Amino acid sequence: MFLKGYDSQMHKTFEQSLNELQDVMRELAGQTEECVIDAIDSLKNRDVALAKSVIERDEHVDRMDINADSLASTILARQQPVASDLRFIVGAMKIANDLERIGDHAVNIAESAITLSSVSSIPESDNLFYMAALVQEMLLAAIECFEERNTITARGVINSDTEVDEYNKIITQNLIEGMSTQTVDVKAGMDVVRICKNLERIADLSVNIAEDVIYIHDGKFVRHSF
Amino acid sequence: MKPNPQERTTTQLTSTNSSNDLPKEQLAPLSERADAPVVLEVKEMKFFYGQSQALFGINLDVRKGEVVALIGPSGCGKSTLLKAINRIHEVSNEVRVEGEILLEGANIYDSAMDITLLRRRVGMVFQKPNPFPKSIYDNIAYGLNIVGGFTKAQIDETVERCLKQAALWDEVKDRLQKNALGLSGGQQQRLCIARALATEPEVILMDEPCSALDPISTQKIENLIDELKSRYTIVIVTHNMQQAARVSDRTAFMMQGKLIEYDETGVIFTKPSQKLTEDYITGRFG
Repeated sequence: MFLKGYDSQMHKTFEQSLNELQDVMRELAGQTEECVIDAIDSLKNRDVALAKSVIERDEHVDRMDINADSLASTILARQQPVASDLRFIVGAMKIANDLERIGDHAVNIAESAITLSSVSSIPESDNLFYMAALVQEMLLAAIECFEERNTITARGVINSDTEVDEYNKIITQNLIEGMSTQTVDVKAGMDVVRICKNLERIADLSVNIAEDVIYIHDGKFVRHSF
Repeated sequence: MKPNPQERTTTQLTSTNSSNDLPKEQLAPLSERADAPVVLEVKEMKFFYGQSQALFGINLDVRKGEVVALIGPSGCGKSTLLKAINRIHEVSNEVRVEGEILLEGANIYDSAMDITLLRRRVGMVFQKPNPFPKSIYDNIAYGLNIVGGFTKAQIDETVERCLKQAALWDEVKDRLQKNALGLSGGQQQRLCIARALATEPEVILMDEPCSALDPISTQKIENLIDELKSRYTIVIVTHNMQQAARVSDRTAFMMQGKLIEYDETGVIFTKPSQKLTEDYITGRFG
């Protein structure tokens, strides 16, 4: 084409930087996803060792979040990207932050799993594990749509949040009733409420990721019902 | 009955929403001057150098008090379009123009248009600073002396005002009678801008005004453009896309003599509608 030769070494360096950022994001997403799955499994299986490993792995997630931010800042400063490149970098910085916070929520769940490991039965366990499965699916789908820039899946993630919110309400309400009638142990009940709250936040953050994927792909802001 | 969570897959999350269900799109904010009157209007502009056509039916409007950047690869016609706006190409007999350029509604290619008056109303700053080999004072006073009829006091006042507007006064006020060629490149370019301001133009055309300047001088010119746009309308050609993004309200992307896309600068640099624009500004031509 008429601009043959424009694809200079500098531009190759830029492409390499973008690929490097994509790789860091992929690793961060994979680690976060594993932490959430393991936190839920540790709760289901009363696996204290697994719960402790989730807590230990959070430092690695934090480090990768910083790596992603640092790399993205360097690209912004040195390459001044525009258009779809700019949207990818801005989106990646926000998604990295969301993933890091999801890691923190996984730690909270793991901490409650340790507390609940000595309880004979977890109150509201059917609803709780169903809600956990929903949240896990939302997170997996959010990560998948970021990887594949799939806005259809992203919109599916956004629409799924209502069901999670409903389960959070139902479980919390049931636990309050159970604790007030003394059919549910208060300490265990409070731990399950805490887990529900953390699952609900993971779902919200998965929605944020899906919204950012739509911004990256289409340049449209869909946050706050816009 | 609740479905078994283990049987659900991510594909079940796939939305069936139609585009009608899409949330309301939030676009980048419009220019502050979106409602300002159009001061310059290019209509179906075609430009020929001999047998070679350089512009192919350009349509573009510029609002009062806005900065419009023209970007595009070398040879795309952006400098030709800029020069056509004050008919500077007419030093050559080889050029031919079709279409219209309206300045405040009057076609500048109309035979009744006074070309000297046109160039008073449409000033130009070039890529390379080109002060006259005269004193700093005389560089500014030159245009007024050509027009004639100004008193010494009026000329003194104009020299001071223009140098202040060009953010040069404090640096040269004690050496106004010194030769302008003794100034630095950045100072010379600001002097050329001050010279262009002396005749109180409505539109200032800038052809890559910072390409020969260091980053500090470039920043001073960009700050100056930002200050001048409250009083003047500016059209700037630049190869520096970051500069276009920084200084302009709207950006026009041209290629092979055609206007490919013209929109708010924020839109062009975050979400261009044309793939050619996206490919150019992200450097993916090849």
